[in-house]
Amino acid sequence: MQKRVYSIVSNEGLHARPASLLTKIASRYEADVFIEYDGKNVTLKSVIAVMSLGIPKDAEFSIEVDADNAEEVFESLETVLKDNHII
Amino acid sequence: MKIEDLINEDLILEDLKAKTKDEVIDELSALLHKLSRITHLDHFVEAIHAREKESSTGVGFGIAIPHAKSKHVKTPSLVFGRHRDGIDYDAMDGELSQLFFMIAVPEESSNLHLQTLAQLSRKLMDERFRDQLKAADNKGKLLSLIESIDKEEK
Repeated sequence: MQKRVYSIVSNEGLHARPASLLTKIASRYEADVFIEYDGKNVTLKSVIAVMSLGIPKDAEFSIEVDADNAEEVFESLETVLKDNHII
Repeated sequence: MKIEDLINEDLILEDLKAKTKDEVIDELSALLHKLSRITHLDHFVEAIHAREKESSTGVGFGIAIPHAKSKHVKTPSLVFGRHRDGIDYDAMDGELSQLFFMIAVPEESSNLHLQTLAQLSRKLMDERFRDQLKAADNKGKLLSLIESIDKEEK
């Protein structure tokens, strides 16, 4: 299991649209992918689970990936996060 | 912002007549307009569609949460609609959607949006809660179920 920590720069936090984009990317992989914020850890493959975290601006959250190709998974997730000005 | 400040019995549609995604959006939006929660129907519907175009708010589990932040919203509102058979709402899991939570918020309120969606999502992850919403046989029961979202622990 690999873990990376990020912080939110978007004024709107991790809102519904980028959450659904992340979910779509994560679901492409067989890997187990989790997102954690404020002590709550949920799958990154369910948009409603990700939205339930309500991660606001300036908050730190982490993503965990359990897979041999974890590096690749992280890179595609980070691309979405950066392209949408979330991190 | 509390859910109970966003909704009342008038903002609940127990049996949507819509047969398509577009008709669901029209039906829920029309109610907001009728109750003067939004100032301009067409512009509000456009904002909802623009958001759906970016990615469907059919989040799976039979739930859709169409939402828009728009200057045409006068009063922050949640309108709930239920469809007995389910509608093809381009849901992420490919299933039909039966429970619709349309959220309308004025342009200036960004945090309300995120936190309202978070509260709602936490509760909707609970299968029992979804089943209760599907089974409730009058508006009063639906309203008290929806207002119970406020009591959800953070």
